[in-house]
Amino acid sequence: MGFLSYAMRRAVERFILLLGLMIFLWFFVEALPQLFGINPAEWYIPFGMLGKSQEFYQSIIRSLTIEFGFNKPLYVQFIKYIYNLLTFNLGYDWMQHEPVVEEIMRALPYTVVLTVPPLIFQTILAILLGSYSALNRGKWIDHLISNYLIIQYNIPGFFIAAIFWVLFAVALKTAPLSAVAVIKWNNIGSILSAYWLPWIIQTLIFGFPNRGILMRNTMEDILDSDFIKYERLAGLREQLIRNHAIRNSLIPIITRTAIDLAFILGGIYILEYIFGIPGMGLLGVTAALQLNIPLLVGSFYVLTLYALVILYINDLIYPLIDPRIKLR
Amino acid sequence: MNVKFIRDPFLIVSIILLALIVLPVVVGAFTLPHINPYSEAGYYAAAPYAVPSWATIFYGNLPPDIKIPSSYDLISAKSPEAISYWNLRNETINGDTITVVWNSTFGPTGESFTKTLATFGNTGPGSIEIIIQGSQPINLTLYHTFTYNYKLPSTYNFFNLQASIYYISYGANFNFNGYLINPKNQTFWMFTSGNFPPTNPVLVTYFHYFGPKGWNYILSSSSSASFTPWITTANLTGTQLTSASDILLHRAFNTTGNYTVEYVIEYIPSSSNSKLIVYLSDLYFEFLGSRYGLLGTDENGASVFSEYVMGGEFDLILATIVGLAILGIGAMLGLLAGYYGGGTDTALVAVTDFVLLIPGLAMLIILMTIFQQIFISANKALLISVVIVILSWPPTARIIRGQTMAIRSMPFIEAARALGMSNTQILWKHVIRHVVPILIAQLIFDIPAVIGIESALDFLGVGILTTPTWGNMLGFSTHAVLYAPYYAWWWILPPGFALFFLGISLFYLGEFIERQYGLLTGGTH
Amino acid sequence: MSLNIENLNVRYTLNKSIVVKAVNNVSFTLEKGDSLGIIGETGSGKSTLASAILRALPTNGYVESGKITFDGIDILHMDPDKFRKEIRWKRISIIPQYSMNSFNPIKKVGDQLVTIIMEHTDNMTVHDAFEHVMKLFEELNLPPETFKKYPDELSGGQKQRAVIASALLLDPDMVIADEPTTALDVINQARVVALIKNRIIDKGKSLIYITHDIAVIAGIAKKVMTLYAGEIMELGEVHKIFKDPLHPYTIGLLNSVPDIRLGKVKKLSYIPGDPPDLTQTIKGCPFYPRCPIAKDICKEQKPQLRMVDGRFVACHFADKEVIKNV
Repeated sequence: MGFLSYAMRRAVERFILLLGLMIFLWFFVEALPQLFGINPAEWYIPFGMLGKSQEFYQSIIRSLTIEFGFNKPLYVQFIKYIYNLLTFNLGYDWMQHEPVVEEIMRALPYTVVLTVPPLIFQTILAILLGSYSALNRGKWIDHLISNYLIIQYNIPGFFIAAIFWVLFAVALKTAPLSAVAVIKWNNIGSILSAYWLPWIIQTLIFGFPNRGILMRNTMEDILDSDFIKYERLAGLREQLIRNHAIRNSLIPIITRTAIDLAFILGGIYILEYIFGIPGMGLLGVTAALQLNIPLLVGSFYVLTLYALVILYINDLIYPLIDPRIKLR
Repeated sequence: MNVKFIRDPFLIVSIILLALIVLPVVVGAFTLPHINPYSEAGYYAAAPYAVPSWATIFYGNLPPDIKIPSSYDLISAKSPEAISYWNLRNETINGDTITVVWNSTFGPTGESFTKTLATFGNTGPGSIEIIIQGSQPINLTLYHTFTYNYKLPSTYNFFNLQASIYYISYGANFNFNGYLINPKNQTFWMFTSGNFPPTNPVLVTYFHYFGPKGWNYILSSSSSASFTPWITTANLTGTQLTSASDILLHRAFNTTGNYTVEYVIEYIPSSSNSKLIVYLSDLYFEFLGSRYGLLGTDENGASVFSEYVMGGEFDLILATIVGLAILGIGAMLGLLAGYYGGGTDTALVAVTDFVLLIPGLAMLIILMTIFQQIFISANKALLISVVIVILSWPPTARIIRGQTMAIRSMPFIEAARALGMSNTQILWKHVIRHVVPILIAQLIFDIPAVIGIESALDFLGVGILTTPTWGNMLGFSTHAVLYAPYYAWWWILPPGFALFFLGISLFYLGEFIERQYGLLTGGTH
Repeated sequence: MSLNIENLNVRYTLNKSIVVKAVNNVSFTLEKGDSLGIIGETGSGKSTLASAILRALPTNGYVESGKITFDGIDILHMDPDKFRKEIRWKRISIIPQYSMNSFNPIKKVGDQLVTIIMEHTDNMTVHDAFEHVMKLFEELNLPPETFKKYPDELSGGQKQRAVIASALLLDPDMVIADEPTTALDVINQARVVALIKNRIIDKGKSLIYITHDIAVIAGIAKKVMTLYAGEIMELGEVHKIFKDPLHPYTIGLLNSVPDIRLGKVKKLSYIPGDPPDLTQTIKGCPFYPRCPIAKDICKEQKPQLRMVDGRFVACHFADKEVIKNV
């Protein structure tokens, strides 16, 4: 009962975020160009891409203008835009000659496989490493772990990814130069051979140090907190006390997943680009390089939607850690 | 990010690291010529993928750049020594008189050619003036010998032979030929030119015709071996023709020993009072070596150190400006939101939450692309700066807001209020003073963050491409790694480590400042 | 049961070189049914003493020398695990200073109490433990819903009672109450004090009650001890000491308490000056710089704790006429 209303409340909150995202997109993709006297329809079909005459181009611009309502007042366009996004009407890619949504749906699984396992791995690893460090605070192992995490936080992710690619794919040849050619969805071995290195990098680099340090510092505070002292006074076993401390330290880790997820999703642009994984990140970069705006915006929208779905699942897991949440 | 224990040794190491990264940039920015290594003018400081000079301890006695002559004055004939350098003297052969003088006032003008670091084209006075007079055909040879005592070249090395020439002919024809002769006495004919075509029909293809009255520039390179007369003598099979450059290089440099660079003037008089006056300048041979400078060269033979310096200069300046802009906006809104609370505060929190939740890189890419479409003629560096500022001020504002809120609730603010100070007075007199340390710390944290973001854009090819940045260096080198010798580590590592060390050292520095002032906020960095 | 402390010295290390002498040469005995109030200023070593008895000193604190025996067992050198399982909560429990934050915020109060029981007993089922907690709640006037509530859902008074319930869970022989009423309003303070009296003293358990609140000591404790700079200044029967204090520090403390019940106007005073720096070795009487009757001897020679008029006092002039004039 409590859980259901909590789940509903969170769903509404996440939807508001989605709305914010859509307003953001609309403003930059449709409103801003019109403020500068550009018809956004031109962005849906790059000039010269059809190899046809000027009249033909203009006629398509006209039909797009009508389809997306660029000749209507802004608020009508806005409603239309929101409606289009919500119904996944993301436009047509005139470069690849297929609907944008189809390209995205083809790319999405690659990104899901690239992001979900590392998210789980790094959460577990951050908890283990952070709590171990906090339990040994002040000792050399704590200094080692903490400073490792700080240093790690400051290494540019794309540098590490590039070096690892050079090392393992180019020099040692234990990972494919480009994953596109290797991955076959019906063959687990092919997936593993293409993904093992990106997984490791994704797990250890993007977002991991933040979580590790957060875990360590929270755990340190919790270990100093009165209730832990009290449990110790009351003669609870040290193991039990530690477990309680870890569980309480998880709260900020879970609530901050959103920010850390943003790191991971930023990482896909780098990793997919370097390792040649044909997912959402590579799609986005390619679209940006080709100035293929419908594809760029569409992939960004779906990626963020994907992030919101993960966040919502995270929201649903949260009461397991902090049961109080259901009561608020 | 919040770290509770940092020992001072970290601070010292940080400062050393920072100096290690920034000093070369500063020194280089003031001492190196500002030639863009990404333009042709910056190419061929040495052969492509030359290793750093000091790396010969790993790779053995790799050839350096060999320049004949090696000084600017000698090449451009700015000094009379040019004459003896090329072993010239006044003499009489077969009744023809040869007069050689150094002309200090007449020199090359108006030549046009693509300039790289390996091509030399001087403009201005200074030339060797040779006057040949008489009725007998003679050959006049200018030569210089050098020693090649290094490992034999790899596929990336090549050599150029060049000259600038002006002539006045009184009934005389001449050919001007360039050769390289190796220790085995094998001659490699690099160019043929003159004021009348050769009689050999095959050679006509490779012949450079010089018009009278005007400086002529000639450049012959082993990298375009198919356009040298050597190809006619090389007896290459059909498949070999495609790798003629490589074959020329390896046949020419097939042993160690003394090599000779030769320019030959073939004087062919038509009558007894024929006379030829030739002005020569820019006589220059260069072998592009496999080791160069502090950090070697990239795929175009451009100096990686130059790239590092220019990239660092660009990145540091951009990051400082952008960092200050972020700080300005962040401080203003953070102070207002933190001090007055209310609507500003709610809005700030909402905007920050939103910005933090969306993958920053994705948002950057999308805004960059759209802004480039709207502001087509805008400077790309400016666009990047604006976009980074738009996306980065909220977290900074949020941290300053936290600090302000903490200060607002401190007793001395209550006291000031009780004493009847207005909000504005309190803000200016008390709050800002207490916020300054966190502003400085924040700037220090923001600089590497901005450089990191900008570099990531460049790395992906979405950012600036035409001038060096550390991100570009990493991007281009990663692409080149597949075929570069030794994985071009001297190219890929410096920008990576620079970004890395800059991040760490500034992080510890910022932490140190925060700790020194015992800042009240934990920070969400 | 009896608690016996001999020449206890507790130290804290601040940096590598700086040592705080928090408790110095403290000796006393507590018999079954005894109730001892410990009073003193902040930093006088009251809580440190309590922590030392429970072997719960912070990581930078340690017992330098001295002996603590409980029923003849040397608890300072007992196997830590055995101490945890058999002494803590089972024999000695504590109502800590930070009662308001004693419970884990993300677990139900009742579950936390059940966990404590289960940790100390081998033959009890969870259901038995539950019944036991519910019974205790009833006795302490806590509504049964308290069991299923999270700590933040309880009021301050409820939380404090839950902490008392926790201290009584395993029916210990001795309870240490470390300023248990600090965070409470007056009404709740009175209730808590009444509870402690009913549930601990009246049940024949021993009690150590640490407080600033001298009036409470007068109400519930049989014995009182004044601590200053980690040293015992005066120790004896409450009615004797409060009626006729013999140490200038005790006199000072008592004079700083307003007494509205007597209905007469009393001149309130306070003790001037600050407590001494405990990182330094004190040669003479630690109270010397603030003492109104200090003589040269006080600076040079540390007064020994000695029996004067039926109580222990550490003052050179406890038996002299001069003390009457303080």
